[in-house]
Amino acid sequence: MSKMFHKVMSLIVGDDSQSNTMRVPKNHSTPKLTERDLLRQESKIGSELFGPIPKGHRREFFCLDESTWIWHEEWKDEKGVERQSTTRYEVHPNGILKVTDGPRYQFIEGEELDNLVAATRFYYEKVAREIYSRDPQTSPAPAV
Amino acid sequence: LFLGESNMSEAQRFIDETRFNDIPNDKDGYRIDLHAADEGLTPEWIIAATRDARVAAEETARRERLEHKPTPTEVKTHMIAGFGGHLRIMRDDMLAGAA
Repeated sequence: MSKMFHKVMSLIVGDDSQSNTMRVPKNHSTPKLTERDLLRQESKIGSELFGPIPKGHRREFFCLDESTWIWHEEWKDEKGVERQSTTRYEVHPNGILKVTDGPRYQFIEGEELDNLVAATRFYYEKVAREIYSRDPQTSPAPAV
Repeated sequence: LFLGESNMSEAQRFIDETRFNDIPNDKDGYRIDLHAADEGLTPEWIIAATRDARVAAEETARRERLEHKPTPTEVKTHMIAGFGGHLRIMRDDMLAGAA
Protein backbone atom coordinates (compact mmCIF):
# COMPACT_ATOMS: atom_id res chain seq x y z
CA MET A 1 0.00 0.00 0.00
CA SER A 2 2.77 2.38 0.98
CA LYS A 3 4.73 1.75 -2.19
CA MET A 4 1.71 2.30 -4.32
CA PHE A 5 0.79 5.48 -2.48
CA HIS A 6 4.29 6.80 -3.03
CA LYS A 7 3.97 6.02 -6.71
CA VAL A 8 0.62 7.78 -7.00
CA MET A 9 1.90 10.82 -5.16
CA SER A 10 4.99 10.90 -7.35
CA LEU A 11 2.78 10.97 -10.41
CA ILE A 12 0.67 13.77 -9.02
CA VAL A 13 2.89 16.03 -6.96
CA GLY A 14 6.38 14.90 -7.89
CA ASP A 15 8.97 12.81 -6.18
CA ASP A 16 10.86 14.36 -3.28
CA SER A 17 12.71 11.20 -2.28
CA GLN A 18 15.93 12.51 -3.86
CA SER A 19 15.69 15.89 -2.22
CA ASN A 20 18.30 16.42 0.49
CA THR A 21 16.32 19.28 1.96
CA MET A 22 13.41 16.96 2.75
CA ARG A 23 15.54 14.20 4.24
CA VAL A 24 15.22 13.65 7.96
CA PRO A 25 18.51 12.97 9.74
CA LYS A 26 18.88 9.37 10.85
CA ASN A 27 19.51 10.36 14.45
CA HIS A 28 16.33 12.42 14.61
CA SER A 29 14.43 11.04 17.56
CA THR A 30 10.89 12.27 16.78
CA PRO A 31 10.07 12.00 13.10
CA LYS A 32 8.09 15.02 12.04
CA LEU A 33 4.60 14.37 10.76
CA THR A 34 4.26 15.45 7.16
CA GLU A 35 1.29 16.18 4.95
CA ARG A 36 2.21 13.12 2.94
CA ASP A 37 1.92 10.97 6.07
CA LEU A 38 -1.57 12.29 6.63
CA LEU A 39 -2.54 11.77 3.00
CA ARG A 40 -1.31 8.20 3.26
CA GLN A 41 -3.50 7.59 6.28
CA GLU A 42 -6.47 9.27 4.65
CA SER A 43 -6.01 7.27 1.48
CA LYS A 44 -6.10 4.01 3.42
CA ILE A 45 -9.55 4.98 4.69
CA GLY A 46 -10.55 6.21 1.23
CA SER A 47 -9.61 2.94 -0.43
CA GLU A 48 -11.90 1.00 1.89
CA LEU A 49 -14.97 3.18 1.42
CA PHE A 50 -16.36 1.36 -1.55
CA GLY A 51 -16.52 -2.14 -0.19
CA PRO A 52 -14.22 -5.03 -0.92
CA ILE A 53 -11.45 -4.39 -3.40
CA PRO A 54 -11.52 -7.04 -6.15
CA LYS A 55 -8.76 -9.60 -5.93
CA GLY A 56 -5.62 -8.40 -7.62
CA HIS A 57 -6.75 -4.78 -7.49
CA ARG A 58 -5.17 -1.98 -5.49
CA ARG A 59 -6.97 1.25 -4.89
CA GLU A 60 -6.29 4.75 -3.62
CA PHE A 61 -8.90 7.41 -3.03
CA PHE A 62 -8.00 10.63 -1.27
CA CYS A 63 -8.47 14.36 -1.12
CA LEU A 64 -5.24 15.82 -2.46
CA ASP A 65 -6.15 19.41 -1.61
CA GLU A 66 -9.28 21.49 -1.14
CA SER A 67 -10.15 21.33 -4.81
CA THR A 68 -8.75 18.00 -5.98
CA TRP A 69 -9.78 14.41 -5.31
CA ILE A 70 -7.83 11.45 -6.66
CA TRP A 71 -8.97 7.95 -7.53
CA HIS A 72 -6.23 5.51 -8.54
CA GLU A 73 -6.60 1.85 -9.28
CA GLU A 74 -4.11 -0.80 -10.33
CA TRP A 75 -4.85 -4.34 -11.46
CA LYS A 76 -3.72 -7.10 -13.73
CA ASP A 77 -5.83 -7.91 -16.74
CA GLU A 78 -6.72 -11.40 -17.93
CA LYS A 79 -3.35 -11.67 -19.67
CA GLY A 80 -1.51 -10.73 -16.52
CA VAL A 81 -0.55 -7.31 -17.83
CA GLU A 82 -0.42 -4.60 -15.18
CA ARG A 83 -2.97 -1.87 -15.75
CA GLN A 84 -3.55 1.35 -13.93
CA SER A 85 -5.99 4.18 -14.06
CA THR A 86 -5.91 7.57 -12.38
CA THR A 87 -8.91 9.85 -12.23
CA ARG A 88 -8.70 13.38 -10.93
CA TYR A 89 -11.81 15.23 -9.85
CA GLU A 90 -11.33 18.99 -9.85
CA VAL A 91 -13.70 21.33 -8.06
CA HIS A 92 -14.63 24.27 -10.26
CA PRO A 93 -17.16 27.01 -9.51
CA ASN A 94 -19.58 25.54 -12.04
CA GLY A 95 -19.11 21.84 -11.36
CA ILE A 96 -16.77 18.92 -10.92
CA LEU A 97 -14.39 18.33 -13.78
CA LYS A 98 -13.34 14.72 -14.21
CA VAL A 99 -9.91 14.27 -15.74
CA THR A 100 -9.03 10.76 -16.84
CA ASP A 101 -6.06 9.18 -18.60
CA GLY A 102 -5.71 10.44 -22.08
CA PRO A 103 -6.30 13.07 -20.89
CA ARG A 104 -10.05 13.38 -21.22
CA TYR A 105 -12.07 16.09 -19.53
CA GLN A 106 -15.72 15.98 -18.62
CA PHE A 107 -17.98 17.73 -16.12
CA ILE A 108 -19.83 15.00 -14.25
CA GLU A 109 -23.58 15.00 -13.73
CA GLY A 110 -26.37 12.78 -12.47
CA GLU A 111 -25.62 9.52 -10.74
CA GLU A 112 -21.86 9.88 -11.07
CA LEU A 113 -21.95 13.24 -9.31
CA ASP A 114 -24.26 11.83 -6.62
CA ASN A 115 -21.86 8.95 -6.06
CA LEU A 116 -18.93 11.30 -5.73
CA VAL A 117 -20.82 13.46 -3.22
CA ALA A 118 -21.58 10.34 -1.18
CA ALA A 119 -17.98 9.14 -1.37
CA THR A 120 -16.53 12.48 -0.32
CA ARG A 121 -19.04 12.76 2.51
CA PHE A 122 -18.17 9.29 3.88
CA TYR A 123 -14.50 10.06 3.47
CA TYR A 124 -14.83 13.39 5.26
CA GLU A 125 -16.77 11.91 8.17
CA LYS A 126 -14.54 8.89 8.61
CA VAL A 127 -11.28 10.79 8.23
CA ALA A 128 -12.42 13.55 10.60
CA ARG A 129 -13.22 10.98 13.30
CA GLU A 130 -10.43 8.46 12.83
CA ILE A 131 -7.46 10.63 11.94
CA TYR A 132 -8.19 14.10 13.25
CA SER A 133 -10.34 13.09 16.22
CA ARG A 134 -13.00 15.60 15.23
CA ASP A 135 -16.72 15.16 15.25
CA PRO A 136 -17.81 15.93 11.70
CA GLN A 137 -21.24 16.90 12.99
CA THR A 138 -19.91 19.60 15.29
CA SER A 139 -16.77 20.70 13.50
CA PRO A 140 -17.41 23.32 10.84
CA ALA A 141 -19.30 21.40 8.21
CA PRO A 142 -19.97 22.43 4.64
CA ALA A 143 -23.29 24.17 4.12
CA VAL A 144 -25.81 21.99 2.34
CA LEU B 1 -15.22 69.49 -30.98
CA PHE B 2 -11.78 68.78 -32.33
CA LEU B 3 -10.24 65.69 -30.80
CA GLY B 4 -6.53 65.20 -30.95
CA GLU B 5 -5.26 61.75 -31.82
CA SER B 6 -3.37 61.41 -28.56
CA ASN B 7 -6.53 61.93 -26.51
CA MET B 8 -8.44 59.39 -28.53
CA SER B 9 -5.64 56.90 -28.07
CA GLU B 10 -6.03 57.38 -24.36
CA ALA B 11 -9.76 56.70 -24.58
CA GLN B 12 -9.16 53.64 -26.75
CA ARG B 13 -6.58 52.36 -24.31
CA PHE B 14 -9.02 52.76 -21.46
CA ILE B 15 -11.71 50.90 -23.34
CA ASP B 16 -9.29 48.15 -24.32
CA GLU B 17 -8.45 47.61 -20.68
CA THR B 18 -12.08 47.10 -19.77
CA ARG B 19 -14.20 44.16 -20.63
CA PHE B 20 -16.04 44.35 -23.93
CA ASN B 21 -19.44 44.39 -22.26
CA ASP B 22 -18.49 47.42 -20.24
CA ILE B 23 -18.34 49.61 -23.29
CA PRO B 24 -21.41 51.81 -23.02
CA ASN B 25 -23.87 52.95 -25.58
CA ASP B 26 -23.72 56.48 -26.78
CA LYS B 27 -26.55 58.99 -26.48
CA ASP B 28 -28.42 57.35 -29.36
CA GLY B 29 -28.06 53.85 -28.02
CA TYR B 30 -25.28 52.72 -30.33
CA ARG B 31 -22.26 51.01 -28.92
CA ILE B 32 -19.52 53.58 -28.98
CA ASP B 33 -16.28 53.21 -30.80
CA LEU B 34 -13.72 55.61 -32.01
CA HIS B 35 -16.06 56.85 -34.71
CA ALA B 36 -17.90 58.43 -31.81
CA ALA B 37 -15.26 61.08 -32.05
CA ASP B 38 -16.89 62.23 -35.23
CA GLU B 39 -20.17 62.54 -33.36
CA GLY B 40 -18.72 64.96 -30.89
CA LEU B 41 -18.11 62.61 -27.95
CA THR B 42 -14.98 63.58 -26.11
CA PRO B 43 -12.46 61.12 -24.74
CA GLU B 44 -13.43 62.33 -21.28
CA TRP B 45 -17.07 61.44 -21.94
CA ILE B 46 -16.08 58.02 -23.23
CA ILE B 47 -13.90 57.35 -20.19
CA ALA B 48 -16.54 58.53 -17.75
CA ALA B 49 -19.31 56.60 -19.49
CA THR B 50 -17.18 53.46 -19.58
CA ARG B 51 -16.49 53.79 -15.88
CA ASP B 52 -20.18 54.25 -15.15
CA ALA B 53 -21.04 51.23 -17.27
CA ARG B 54 -18.48 49.11 -15.47
CA VAL B 55 -19.80 50.12 -12.05
CA ALA B 56 -23.35 49.38 -13.18
CA ALA B 57 -22.30 46.00 -14.61
CA GLU B 58 -20.57 45.04 -11.37
CA GLU B 59 -23.61 46.04 -9.36
CA THR B 60 -25.87 44.01 -11.64
CA ALA B 61 -23.56 40.99 -11.34
CA ARG B 62 -23.49 41.35 -7.55
CA ARG B 63 -27.29 41.49 -7.40
CA GLU B 64 -27.62 38.50 -9.71
CA ARG B 65 -25.24 36.52 -7.51
CA LEU B 66 -27.34 37.33 -4.46
CA GLU B 67 -30.59 36.47 -6.21
CA HIS B 68 -29.19 33.39 -7.93
CA LYS B 69 -30.76 30.13 -6.82
CA PRO B 70 -28.06 27.48 -7.03
CA THR B 71 -28.67 24.54 -9.31
CA PRO B 72 -28.47 21.00 -7.89
CA THR B 73 -25.08 20.61 -9.55
CA GLU B 74 -23.81 23.79 -7.90
CA VAL B 75 -25.10 22.63 -4.51
CA LYS B 76 -23.32 19.30 -4.84
CA THR B 77 -20.16 20.98 -6.07
CA HIS B 78 -20.29 23.31 -3.10
CA MET B 79 -20.62 20.34 -0.75
CA ILE B 80 -17.56 18.62 -2.20
CA ALA B 81 -15.63 21.88 -2.03
CA GLY B 82 -16.67 22.22 1.61
CA PHE B 83 -15.46 18.73 2.52
CA GLY B 84 -12.13 19.41 0.84
CA GLY B 85 -11.79 22.79 2.51
CA HIS B 86 -12.44 21.40 5.98
CA LEU B 87 -10.07 18.51 5.44
CA ARG B 88 -7.42 21.07 4.51
CA ILE B 89 -8.06 22.94 7.78
CA MET B 90 -7.90 19.77 9.86
CA ARG B 91 -4.69 18.71 8.14
CA ASP B 92 -3.08 22.10 8.67
CA ASP B 93 -4.15 22.12 12.32
CA MET B 94 -2.61 18.73 12.94
CA LEU B 95 0.62 19.63 11.15
CA ALA B 96 0.82 22.86 13.12
CA GLY B 97 0.27 20.94 16.35
CA ALA B 98 2.96 18.44 15.44
CA ALA B 99 5.49 21.11 14.53
